[in-house]
Amino acid sequence: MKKTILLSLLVIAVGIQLVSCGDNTSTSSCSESGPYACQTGATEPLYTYQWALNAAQSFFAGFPLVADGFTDLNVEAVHKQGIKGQGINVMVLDSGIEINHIDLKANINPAMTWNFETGTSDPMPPSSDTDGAHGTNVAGMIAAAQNGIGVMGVAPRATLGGARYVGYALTANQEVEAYGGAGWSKDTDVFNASFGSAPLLPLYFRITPWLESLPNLRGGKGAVVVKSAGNAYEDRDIYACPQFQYGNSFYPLVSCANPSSDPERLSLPVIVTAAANAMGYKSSYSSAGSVMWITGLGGEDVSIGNYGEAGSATNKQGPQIYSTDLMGCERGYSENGLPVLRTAQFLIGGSPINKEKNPNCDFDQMNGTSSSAPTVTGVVALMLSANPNLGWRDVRDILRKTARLIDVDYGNQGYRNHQVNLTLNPTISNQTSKELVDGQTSVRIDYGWQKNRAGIYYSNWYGFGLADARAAVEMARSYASYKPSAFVQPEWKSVKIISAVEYGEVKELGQFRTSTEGAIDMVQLQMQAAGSAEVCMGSVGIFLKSPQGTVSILSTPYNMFYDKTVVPNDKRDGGKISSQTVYALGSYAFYGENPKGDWTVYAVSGTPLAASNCAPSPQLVMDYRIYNAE
Amino acid sequence: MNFSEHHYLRSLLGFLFGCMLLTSSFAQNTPKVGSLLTESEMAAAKAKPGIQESKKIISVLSAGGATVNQELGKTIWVLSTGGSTTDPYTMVVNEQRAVGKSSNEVLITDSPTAQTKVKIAAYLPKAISVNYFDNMNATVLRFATLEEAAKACAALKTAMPDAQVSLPVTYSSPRTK
Repeated sequence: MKKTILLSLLVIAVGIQLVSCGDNTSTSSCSESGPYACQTGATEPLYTYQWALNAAQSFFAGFPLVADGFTDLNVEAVHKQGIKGQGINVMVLDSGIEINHIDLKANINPAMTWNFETGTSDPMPPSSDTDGAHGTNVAGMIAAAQNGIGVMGVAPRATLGGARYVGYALTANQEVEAYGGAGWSKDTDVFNASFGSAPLLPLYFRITPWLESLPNLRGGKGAVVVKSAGNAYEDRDIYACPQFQYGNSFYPLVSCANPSSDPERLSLPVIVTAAANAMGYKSSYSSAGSVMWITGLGGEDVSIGNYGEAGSATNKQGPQIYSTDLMGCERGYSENGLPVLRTAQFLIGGSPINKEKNPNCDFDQMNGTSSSAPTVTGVVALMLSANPNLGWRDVRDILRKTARLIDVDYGNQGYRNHQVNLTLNPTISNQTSKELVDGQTSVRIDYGWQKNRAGIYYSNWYGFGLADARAAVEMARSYASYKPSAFVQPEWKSVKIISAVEYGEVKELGQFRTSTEGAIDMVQLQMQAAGSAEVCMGSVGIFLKSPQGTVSILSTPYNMFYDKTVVPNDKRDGGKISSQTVYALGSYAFYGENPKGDWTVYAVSGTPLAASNCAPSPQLVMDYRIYNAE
Repeated sequence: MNFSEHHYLRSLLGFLFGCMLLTSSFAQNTPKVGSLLTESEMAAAKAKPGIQESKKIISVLSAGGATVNQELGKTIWVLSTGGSTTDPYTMVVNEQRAVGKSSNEVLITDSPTAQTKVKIAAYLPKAISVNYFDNMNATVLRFATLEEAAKACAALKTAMPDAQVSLPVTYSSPRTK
């Protein structure tokens, strides 16, 4: 009897081990049919390089300097249930798509394609576009087919549409067409927007009507839009952001670019997405700011070795996101003639690894928040496939609630828990206090992860955390408390200004009081100079303190507008705004808190460069508005 | 092909070629969207007609008029015009010296198109096109000139207080990297 029990236990134990090691299907609740029913991406030859889908069994798990072996989207359990994006239409607004790609065409709906350059339905980028492979990569990350070829997307049975969209100053009519107004876009459930603008100065804030009309789509449930946060944490291509000096060394203490500087990222329906690498912390390039909602996976800056396994993440090296490339070795990110020292061999046409694993250069890898956004878009497609009744607010809510905290101690690393001097050129002091009072000349400009008074963790680096497909789909399936889809803009109200900006110190700029009870979604501030003196916003950080004591950093001093850019003939001078320029910022850090009570706005201002000719003690006028979490 | 058809085709080709030359010349001389003018270029631009938009109203300003108007709001000055009769555009510059592009459109959102049709009826004769996006509660009117668009926009803001009525100007082109 005992032997029988022991044998049974042994069989069960072996069986369990077999399931976790080799069987990639679920033994229960499979809702999918067909040759790949409820199988993971292990059916695809390049799946081992898709660490974002299965880190533990990925090729990169054996390279601890670039991959921790467990950071992924937690998506396999969803695939094993047969949930793969069926019935969901995803629109890729990008550089275009190669719709006949061998690993995409099964999922492409030709009736959902457009080319704004040619005015035709063929979204293939022209050979003159050196970045033409971008959209094909994005599409593959979302929904490359499961077919035994190449790679697999996060939602491999979602339907793909796409447009050649970026790079043009489109008309408003074209923007409305792109975001659901045209026949080819009207049935979109999720838009992926892996693009943004890189303004040379604080842009005049205006609403983006086509984004704020998205709640009308999907029969009134609202379409979802996932947008990249930007890749300018340490930008050297456009901006010349200063680094912060400590001793003889310099540190990129805070993000150069602020995602809020692109007004589209201030639009409530837009899910702004940061990027993390395979080590489970922020990709070195991923811009940071208080409009971040969620984090996806984008990999590191430079991919070297055979597949991206060489180097170290601390040196900004590591694997990126494997996907579909423009076919052939003559163009795309995988092609002939790439520089050997800065490129994984997989991508270099004709290299031994390329010949073995990617002989036609049909596949590649891409990084950036351009990659992290489609990983989140894929997760959203899975959620909507599991529960098509979800509205746009529900999707945001579920992503937020199920996100995982990563890199929990980053706020104490790299001198981020130190104050910076405001009276000198950017330098780091030895003080670590979070104190924020009038007249201070040094102050913390990064708080890391913060738990607000509603008990919700938020980070300017990661938003609410890393997307978790399994948890999100589970919550989507049981979700019943649907939120209203209607989108109403709250009125702007005045901030009572009590002080001028003083460069080189902290000033309590203004206050406002709200009497409304509720739960906060987003808080926005808009500001312009009062009178004739312009304000050099490149030196001015804006901090906002809620009635319950949470402080959010909406912008930092010494930001992207502080110094001249590297753009030739740049005439920008410290990011000046006048009385005719309305500049806006936003924050999700107060999410869930009760807005009732007294709010305080601080200007935390560094010392402008002398060449900027910033007038002393300029005045700002300011408005606020608070979006309620429905 | 008969003579008249041939003549018509030659005329059309000639016209199109002329447009291409015009466009090419324009493209060479006008700053790109998102670029910044120098102070002297800006001073010259401010002598041109402008459009001023505050939170509630839009005003069409005569040449140089913007310099004496201190009302809070944004002012744009016309740099040049271009395009064709069916696809016209206006290059502008704002107070920040940033160059933008308007397609002489008025965008109306947050208003069911059935209601919008009634409100905009008086402006349709002047518009060169109108597109209704029923599923998005959005309507786009397009005019031959920015001035006509601005005048229509100003009137429609008053006539449609519950809708979002705007005069879109693009100051940057989306980038993938």
